[in-house]
Amino acid sequence: MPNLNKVFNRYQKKITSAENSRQLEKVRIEVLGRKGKINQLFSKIKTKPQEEKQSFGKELNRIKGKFENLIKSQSAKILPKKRAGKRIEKTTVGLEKIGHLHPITITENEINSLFRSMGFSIYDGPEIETDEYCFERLNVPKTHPARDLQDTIYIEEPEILLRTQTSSVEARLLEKEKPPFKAAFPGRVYRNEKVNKSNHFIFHHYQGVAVDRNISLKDLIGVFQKLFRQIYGTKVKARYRCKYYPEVEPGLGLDLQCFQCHGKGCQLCKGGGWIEMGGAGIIHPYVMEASGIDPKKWRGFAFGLGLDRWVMAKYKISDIRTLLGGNLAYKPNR
Amino acid sequence: MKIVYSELKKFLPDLKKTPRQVADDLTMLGHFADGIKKTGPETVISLEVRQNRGDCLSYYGIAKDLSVFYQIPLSTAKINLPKSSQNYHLPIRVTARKETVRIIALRLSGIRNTASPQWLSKFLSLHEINSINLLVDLTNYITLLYGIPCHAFDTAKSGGKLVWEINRGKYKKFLTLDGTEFELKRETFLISDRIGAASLVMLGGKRAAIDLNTTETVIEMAVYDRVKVRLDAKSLNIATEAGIRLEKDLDPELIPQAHGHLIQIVLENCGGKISSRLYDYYPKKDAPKRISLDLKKPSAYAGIQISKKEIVRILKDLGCQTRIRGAGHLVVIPPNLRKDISIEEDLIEEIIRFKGYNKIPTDQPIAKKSLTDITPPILYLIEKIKTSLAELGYDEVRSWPLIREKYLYRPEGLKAEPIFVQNSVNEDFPILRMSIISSLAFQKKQYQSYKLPDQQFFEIGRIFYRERSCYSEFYSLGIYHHQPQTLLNDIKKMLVKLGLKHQKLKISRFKGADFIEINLEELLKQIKKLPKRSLVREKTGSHAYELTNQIITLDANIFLKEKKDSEKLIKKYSKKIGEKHLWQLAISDVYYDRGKREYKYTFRARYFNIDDKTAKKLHLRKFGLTNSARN
Repeated sequence: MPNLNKVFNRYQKKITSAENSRQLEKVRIEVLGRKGKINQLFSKIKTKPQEEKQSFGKELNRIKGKFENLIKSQSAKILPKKRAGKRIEKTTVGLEKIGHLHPITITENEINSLFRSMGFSIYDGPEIETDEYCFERLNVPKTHPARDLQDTIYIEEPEILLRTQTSSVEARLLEKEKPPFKAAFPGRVYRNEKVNKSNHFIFHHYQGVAVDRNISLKDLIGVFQKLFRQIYGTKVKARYRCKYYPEVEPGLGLDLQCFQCHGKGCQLCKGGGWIEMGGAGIIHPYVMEASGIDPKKWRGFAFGLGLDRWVMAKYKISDIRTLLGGNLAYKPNR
Repeated sequence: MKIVYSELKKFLPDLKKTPRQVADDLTMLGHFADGIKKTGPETVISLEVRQNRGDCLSYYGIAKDLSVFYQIPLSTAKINLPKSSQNYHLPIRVTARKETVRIIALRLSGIRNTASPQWLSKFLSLHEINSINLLVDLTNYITLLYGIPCHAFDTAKSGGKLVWEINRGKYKKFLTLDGTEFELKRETFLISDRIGAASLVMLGGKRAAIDLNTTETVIEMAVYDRVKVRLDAKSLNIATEAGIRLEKDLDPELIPQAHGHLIQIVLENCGGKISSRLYDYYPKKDAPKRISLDLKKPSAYAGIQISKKEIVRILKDLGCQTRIRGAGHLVVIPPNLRKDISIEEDLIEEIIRFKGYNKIPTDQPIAKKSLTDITPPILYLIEKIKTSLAELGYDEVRSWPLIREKYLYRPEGLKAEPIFVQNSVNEDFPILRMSIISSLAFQKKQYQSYKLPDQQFFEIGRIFYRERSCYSEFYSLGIYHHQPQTLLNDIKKMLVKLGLKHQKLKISRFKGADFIEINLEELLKQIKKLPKRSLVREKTGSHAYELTNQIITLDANIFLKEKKDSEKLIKKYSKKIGEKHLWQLAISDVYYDRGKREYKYTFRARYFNIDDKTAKKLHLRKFGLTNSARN
């Protein structure tokens, strides 16, 4: 094992005796460059016995840090060559920082804004939920696969869990508010899914409900056409088809023509030419009754959209983990 | 569910639509077609069948829907079995009575089992089922056609004395056809031959398996209590084609047709004769459901006019019996096949489905009617804070609320307990955060690894904890700035905008960095007046980027004879470098050298999603420098 302190001492002298930035850069490359001393030593880790590997790596990292600090302080000491002249601009131009909202927030705000213009309030509910509000009141049967441990993250199985859908907010809203009302609620939901490039255990849903006397599928489809046109422009092609969800009857599937291939069929849309954006329908009479609303007097629609893929397409994000990961960043001043 | 177009046509001889049109129409009917594939002469449509339509996990069910939609006849195989004078009664017993809906079984003798003909093995392979032998393949073929699983037992192995029973600890192990051994549960529903477990209700066993030497077989087809099948599949962790179907509501009235069809094709293909009387266990038929339908409702639900004539036509085509009851009402008895139809709304959906969802106009959204604003004030506060912080130059981050144990940060003075989840996806992240600082510290570490300069960011999210067996969650704001004093000043500015001048702010140090955290629900209590209109007007430009490499910072000195406007120079070089890899461009210094009578502009360029070698090359080229130049 080479004596790392000896290595440090040798290069320390070289660094501290550098008189100008060129000399300092030369030593820096010698020590910290790609083919520098430190990297050479790192490549030797694999030849070390198992018990030494960790301590050697740790020590090497410590020395590397020391070098970095030393170079930094030496760099500050090296004064620019005095020339006959003057500094005419002290303030830095181009470093003014602009703040940014997260793409999910921007998308939520855009959709909120549209729903507000249609008279919707924005609503909210807890992320730690009970089985009653997440499943029972939404007509999801006890044997439904969504209730399995493989799908739901439990805090106390089977009663306390992390909500798997923002429909739980719908259940609370129906219970708390008196009709008529209209509300939309963006929120985070959790599923017991392995995290990889295309799957995450956290998703972002955008859900909404309208309860009044004469709500129809026409009202609901009109809302979505308006939303899709606002977000994607007037040329957008949407498709509204029959779909089953336990909490609605009749149910509706919401599809958009594929953003990538424009209906021709590609990998993104699995050749079908359409991308599923969400689900909706007329609220099931059982769900209304469970919350104390008389389905003979009132009728409502409910919808749910998944935001993640929507945002990924808009911001050209290829990995779903980026949305909640440390590598999503914003250009500071443009 | 996969549908081979040529097989579908056997049920619908008058079908004239192309496979693509059929796939699109099935999608509109609720069976999402997620792919069409041409394999040799065959076209296969891949469908996501509605969860409540067990009948549509079959060619028969799909063809039935299409026959109503296209208004063409549905053709089913004519069953013409040879009359048998056999008086042999199968020695079958059913002790699991509560769990069994219907079983039909028959014994065939003198059969000759062989390998399957090409048409059959090809058909099964299109459904991703391996060919085993002719008899087994025919049972699988019929399961696909009618959606009701069936099973053949070799009587030379099982003796034919079959019992449908709940295990109750009698049998310990079960060996599947492929040799996998399962530990049986006490409550497992199985078919035994009174010595061992011959089969599970959703999975065949090795004990009485059909092979090429089989000459006598008992062929059964059954429908069970679907919840029991689901629970068994879950407890044994088994997922089979049969199980997926038996977990749904299937029609026991379809069994005679499907079983008869199976017996017919076995006799045609394997020879042999019927050597027993038909065993039919069907103790309790479901009483027909009578549903009252208000004829005005389908139009009211759809928002378009649907005439009484159309309603009656659709219901009759579906196989419903209808009878007028008073003015404007029908009494409807749905067909047995349609177990999913049980309330008035189910009928309404059927009517709209076959009328066509695409007939509903798309340009008439819900009327804008002024209703009371029920938005919780905290949401207005969050919106306001996010905007203020973005204006102050902070970036919003969103992170995982589940954290590593070493990142658990407890706010000072909080006596509550952290909340652990029972089945976290990633066991390294088992705790719900008690403070946003946990998430921000992790975020900072991540940004550090990408060498992101001048970090200043915030997150608003929930924090969670448990106090005296109660679960609590609150909205909290966490903020980080690489210069703590600036952080304090900025937060003060933000609070002033909210009308709060004298707030005490505390900097918390965690993982070597300084943060400020504010409980927003506490803050809300102190705010007298909150603006209620949405303030967010940020344009949706592409500001956010997915970093794949470290940010690379490089300097360049440019010497000019004349003084230039720094902003214009930045614009010029930004354009030259291009947007793709330029993170930031700034001029950090302008110096006039009297001796040389020239201006030195020091640029600092930051590059992203590019390796350092390529960045350096790009940098030198765009600034017109070489390695030996004055930089």
